[in-house]
Amino acid sequence: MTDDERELRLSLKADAESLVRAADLPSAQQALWRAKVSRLRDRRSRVAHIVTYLHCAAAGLVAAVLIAFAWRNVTAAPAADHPMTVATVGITAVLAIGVLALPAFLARPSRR
Amino acid sequence: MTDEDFCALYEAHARRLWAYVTRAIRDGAAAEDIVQEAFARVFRAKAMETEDEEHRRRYLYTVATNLIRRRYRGLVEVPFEERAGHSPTSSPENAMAVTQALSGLTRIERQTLWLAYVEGWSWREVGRLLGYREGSIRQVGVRARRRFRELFGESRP
Repeated sequence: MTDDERELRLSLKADAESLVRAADLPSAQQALWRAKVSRLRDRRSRVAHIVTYLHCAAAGLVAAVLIAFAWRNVTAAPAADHPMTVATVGITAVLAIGVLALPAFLARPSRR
Repeated sequence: MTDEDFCALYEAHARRLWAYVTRAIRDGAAAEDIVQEAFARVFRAKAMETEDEEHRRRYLYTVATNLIRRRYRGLVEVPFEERAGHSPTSSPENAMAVTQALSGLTRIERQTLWLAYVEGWSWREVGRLLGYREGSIRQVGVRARRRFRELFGESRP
């Protein structure tokens, strides 16, 4: 280490020491409390994410069941009834997805 | 991490971390927020539960540096005179000279000097933390040192 570097280190260290002495930070207990609150928020956010995914998965499952049901009806019903059956089950599927997934989507935790 | 571990870590490193962040961003109040957030993240991090104190200390500096980068990304630095009220003064003699000299450097230069000469990190570690190759950060350090010496000489009483 050169003299120049040594002088720089001494100056900066003296400055650091005086800053450390002058620091007016919250106590360790206060910091711990804030950290716990922060961890709690983090956990809640994670739970909210999981609930959102479960809602969406449930909506997908319901839609899949309804589509399978529609397909079975369409193949079993007389040709004249096909459009009506498909429309009814289609609308039901869309409503199921809307009812289950939309509130979850709207209530999803924001990413910061 | 247990409550006792957290308190011990905080007592040991909070003030020094605050000094680093304060000198990097020249804003004591914002530095306090960053220090709080850095400690909260260490507390939340599962991986930190089994690490030793030195790893936790390095993690703290890494988180604080990333928070500084994220907070001030794309922002133009405000001249020192306009924010002098937010920058805490240190010792009566050289403090202002050091503060003035550091304020003439860029944020990366201030962080480089601080980590290398106050915290004693190697150039490789400083480079990794700040996102530079070792050779590049060494150059930044040389340039910062030269500039600091000039400014410190000018403003020393």
